[in-house]
Formats: sequence, structure tokens, C-alpha cells
Amino acid sequence: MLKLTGALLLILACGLLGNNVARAYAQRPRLLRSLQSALQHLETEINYGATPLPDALAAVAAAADPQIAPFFHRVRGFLLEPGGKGLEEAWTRGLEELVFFTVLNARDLEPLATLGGVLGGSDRQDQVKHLQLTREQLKGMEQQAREISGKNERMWRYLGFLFGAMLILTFY
Amino acid sequence: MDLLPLADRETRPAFQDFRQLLSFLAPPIQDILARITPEVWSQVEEIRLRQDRPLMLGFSQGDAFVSPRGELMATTHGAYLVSAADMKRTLQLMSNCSIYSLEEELRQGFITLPGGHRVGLAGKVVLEGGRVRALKYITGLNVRVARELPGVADKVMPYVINREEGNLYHTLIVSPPRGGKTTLLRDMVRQISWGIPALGLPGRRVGLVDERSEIGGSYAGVPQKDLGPRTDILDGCPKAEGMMMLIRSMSPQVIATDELGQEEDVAALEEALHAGVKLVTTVHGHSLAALKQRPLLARILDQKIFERIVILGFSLGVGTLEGVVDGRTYSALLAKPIR
Repeated sequence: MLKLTGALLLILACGLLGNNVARAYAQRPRLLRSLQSALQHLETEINYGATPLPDALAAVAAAADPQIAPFFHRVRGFLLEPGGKGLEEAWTRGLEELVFFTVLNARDLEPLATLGGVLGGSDRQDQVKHLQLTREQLKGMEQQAREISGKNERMWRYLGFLFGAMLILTFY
Repeated sequence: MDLLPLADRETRPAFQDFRQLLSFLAPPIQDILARITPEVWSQVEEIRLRQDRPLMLGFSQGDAFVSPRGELMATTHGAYLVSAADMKRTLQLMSNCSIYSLEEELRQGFITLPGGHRVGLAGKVVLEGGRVRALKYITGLNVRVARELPGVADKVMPYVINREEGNLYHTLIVSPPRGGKTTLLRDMVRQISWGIPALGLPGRRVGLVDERSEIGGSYAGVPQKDLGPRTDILDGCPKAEGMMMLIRSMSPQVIATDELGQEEDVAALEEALHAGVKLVTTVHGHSLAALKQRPLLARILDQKIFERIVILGFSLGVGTLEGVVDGRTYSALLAKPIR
């Protein structure tokens, strides 16, 4: 009986682990998509409202995907910190947190990282171009992530259980 | 009804103003300039930042370079060199990280900071159809420290008030650049708006067309200077258009503008005259004779629009009142320059 419970628990644990990995694969394209919409929003704020960046970031944070919103919120916070070192630093710190708290990795955010160096630093036309370029690059990332996720998501969902079952067969 | 004079604003220590101004400069430059004593501060007129060149302060007597320890020096040797990062950070601080929100200001070549300080900009100009579209690679900043000098117009007011009518004369202020005409005009506007009971002038409704945001030092449309309780400001508005807008909608008794010089300004002046509005305005120039050389101004003078011509100069230092002339008869009303 004890063995049976142990075996079931093992299968369950391995299954959940696999499920987690699968969920991460499924989430990446979704988050990359949300980032693009958030940048689209930022572009509108900049181009049509000429809204100062701290206000624009707040507006974007208020409307963005709940997993992405903290990024814009934090960048704004870092930016307004007394003694802050400027936008580039605030942006980089924000991105580090985004990598830490979400399934996105540093490579996914490379296009965003370069944006930090130019955001707010030029006229509207120029800003729009930079934002569009970044969105374009994120779109590429999203497509890649979607392909990978298509292949891997289902595999990991089963692989966890199968691995658990294999362990049981080996040790039984 | 007793209106409160803005006493706290008038006595606000200038040093606090400087602290606020410093917060818009890159931190390394803030640290350097924070070491300068309040006595020196009170005389600083300009802070000049040029990329890869020495940090410089401008005074009325000349300029000085600043060492990394905050000492003033006559030569550039050992002076603090302003880095590209300093320029970038300063611009971020001044624009709230949003250069794009200042496009119109960049086109005009200056931005106004809270506190009314004007920042002139130089860099690479981007043209579109032969006109300036934007300024990028900004490599030169000139922070002009705005100072309120309440009372600077005290010596002028007796000459420009018609005591019999209890009203103002049409007044033209003539001054060389940096001669203090904007400061004088600002204080005149303030005094006219508050009224001067001692000289028999009740408070007047003043319409101010502040084309270059210099008189009111407006930030987000709110004047940072005391311009009196009866003053309406059109900030950043072209003079001629602004004067007409004010006459049509704000029923001013006095219209004040800075730096006359365009053909359409004259037409607007004439319109204002017919509307029965008193005019106070300024013009660049060293003397009355020099003004008459300029066709447009010669025309204005010939028409005898202005009843009083106030001439500023440097003979006794900045803000010297060189003379006051009756614009109709050209007789001098002031015996000798005063300061």
C-alpha cells in the first residue's frame, strides 16, 4: 500500500513538473505578444499625446497584461527615484526583474534592451521608428517561440508522467 | 479689499532657486556647482554646458571656467570637461526623459524650466523642406538664470504714468541685449497689475503676450514669476496674433509684449491703439539714433505711437536707466543716467 502511494505521488510530481515546463513554453509567445501591444500603446502615447515618459509608462502599465505591467511600473519607479541614473539604467533594472519574475529569458528581451538606450531621447518620428522596429523584432521572437512551443509543449506535458512511470518501473 | 502682496515670493531666498535649478543638471555637475558659495551664486547669470569642453559660468562682468572642485578659474586649464553622458543626463532631467514632448521648443531652440529659467540649445539641426524640423545631437546648453528683481521698475514708473488721467503712457523700452529689458518689463507688468496708489495708478488689467516664455517664465502655461493679480498671459504665442486675441477676448487695459521687430507687430500695435489699450513693449537697440536707422522702427517712431521711450544701457552697470524721452516731442525727461 505504501509502495503504491509512493508510486502515485512520484508519477504526480513528475507529471506536474513536466506540466510546468510545458506551461512555460506556452506562455512565452503570449507574453511576447502582450509586450508588443504594450509597446503599441506606448507608441500611441508618445506619438499622439506627446505624453511625458513617466506618465506614458503609467498609462501603459495600467492597461497591460498583468504579467507585463509590473515592468513598466517598475521602470517608472526607478526613473523617478531621486538620484536615479537615468532612463537606460531604469530600463535595464526593469528588464532584469522581468526576466526574474516571468518565463521570458534575456534573449527574448534583447530587442527591448536596445530600446532603453533611445527611448525618450529624440523627436516623435524617431521614437515611433524605434518602437516599430522593436515591435517587429519582438514579433520575430514570438514566432520562433510559438514554433518551439508547438513542438515542445505537448511533449513535456506527457514526458513528465512517462518519466515518473519509468522511474517506478526501474525501482519496483 | 486688501489683496495680499506675495511677500514670501518676493523674499524667497535666491539660493533655494539655485538648488532647484541644480536638480536639472547631471549629478556630476550638480556636485561641482553645489560647492560654489551663495555670494558667487547670486551673481551667476548663465551656466554653459558644451560637450567635451569646459564647464563655464557667465557673469555680467565676464565668464569663468569651473574646476572639478568648484573653483572659478580664468583659464580652461584643469577645468571640468562636460562629457557626452553629462549632456544626455541633463537633457533627460530637463525634458523629463521625453525629448519628444518638447518638439516645438526644440524647433525654437530653447526650453523653459520650472522656476522660469530659460535653456538655450545648440546642436545638429534637422531640416524638412528647408525649415527647421528638429534639433538632435544636442551638444550645447546655455542655462539662463531667471531672476525676479521686484522693485527694479521703481525708478521708471514715475516717468511712465500719466498722473492726470491715472493711466499709463504708451511706453517703449529700448535696451541692448542683456541690458535688463525683460526684467524691467516683468516688474513693470507686476506693478501695473497690482497698481501703484502712491503714483495714482489703480491696478490695471494687463494682457501679456509672452512669445518666448521669457517674461513670465511659464512652465506648462503657469507663470513662475509674480506678474500681479490682474495679468492674463498668452504663453508662447506669436505677438501680433496674441495681441489681437487678447483685445478680442480678455479686454485688457494694458498690453505688454517683448521684442518688437516684425512687420505684423506694427499692424497689431496700431489695432491695439484704436482699441484704446495702453502699450508697453521693448526693442533691441543702443540708442534712439540707432533705432531710427531701422526702417520699421523709424516708422513707428515717426508715427509717434509711443509717448514715453525708456532707454537702458550699461554706463553705470547692468540695468542703468540711461534716459527717458517724451516720444512726441523728443525732449529728455531724465537729466542724467541713474541706476
